[in-house]
Amino acid sequence: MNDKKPSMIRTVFGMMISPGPTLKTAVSGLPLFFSLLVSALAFLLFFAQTGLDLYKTGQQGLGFVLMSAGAGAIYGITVIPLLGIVIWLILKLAKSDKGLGWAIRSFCLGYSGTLIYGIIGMIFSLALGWRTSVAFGVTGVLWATGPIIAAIREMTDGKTALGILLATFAGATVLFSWAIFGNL
Amino acid sequence: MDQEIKLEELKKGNGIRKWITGLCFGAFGITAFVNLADPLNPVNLVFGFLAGLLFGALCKKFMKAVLGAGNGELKKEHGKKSVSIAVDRGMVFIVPFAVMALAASFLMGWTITGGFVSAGVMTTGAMSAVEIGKLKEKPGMKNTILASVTAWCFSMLWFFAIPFAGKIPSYLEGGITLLFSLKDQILQ
Repeated sequence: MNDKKPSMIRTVFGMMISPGPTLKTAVSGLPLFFSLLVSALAFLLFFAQTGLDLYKTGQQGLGFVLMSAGAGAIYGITVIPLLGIVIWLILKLAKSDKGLGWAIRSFCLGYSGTLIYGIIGMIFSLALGWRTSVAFGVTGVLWATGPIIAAIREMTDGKTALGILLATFAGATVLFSWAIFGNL
Repeated sequence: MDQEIKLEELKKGNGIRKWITGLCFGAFGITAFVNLADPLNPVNLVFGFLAGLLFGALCKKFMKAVLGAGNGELKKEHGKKSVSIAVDRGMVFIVPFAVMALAASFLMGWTITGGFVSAGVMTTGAMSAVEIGKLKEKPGMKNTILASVTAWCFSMLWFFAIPFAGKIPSYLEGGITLLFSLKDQILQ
């Protein structure tokens, strides 16, 4: 039996670069709060950059930037696990044997790429004054589609069509709900 | 014998997968060249679709060539087409990105959809490596690295080629208008 706990940093990078093997080996050994932390931080940084972009163009004040960061953290803790639950329920009908905890953990960790893009984007935003919400934020969210496909395939024993359909639904939900937030 | 069955299994539906992938790349082309003031402009739509198709065909060819070169043993074991079939299976994961790009362009009015292409191509590269890994006992990281580097090159190509290619439809439209006006003058 392998008692070695998976490294958290390695899991984050693993989910971004090679999600299939990472899902198989690391996800079940990680605590739920760590997965929630990843998605909360990922969306905190993404939404904060949206606020910063609007602040730089003079459309919003500094209070909006802080509010955006808070909204992002709440989004990462509530909407992403909820998406995981909805997709887990759908896949239960397709006889998936993965538990709800595994689904939530893998969905939240799927946004590891968004977190890494978010950190880099924030550096560029603060240090160089770039507007980064689209270039880094949206790209990071799109990057999460790959790990989500991998998670759905893992839950369905490799069913491609279902993976594509549900990943499109998850990706579009996140992207367009962010777009609505940006237009508020 | 088991491996032969596995390859036969993987081959199923390959034709339809190729069609779907082609359509998705065509859709990327449409979103790159669409003029939101005139979204149904036929010149932009046709040119964009063809440019996307060409880009997709090149991307697939290179991906197959690079991964094929790095998996000589696998080709010997499973046949010449094994890598090509695996790449076609991986490429179909472009669908979510194409659907989201179309929705972003035509429903949300976004004009910059290069991120969708970039993330899509990177994901299909990784998925192609996963599909090749299914034919091996120990998949390893080599194919993931090869596929990721190739995909990154193509996502860069898209970013740099689109601004140049974007000028072609207006030149094309201008040329067609000029030809028609010349024809009218000659007829008069």
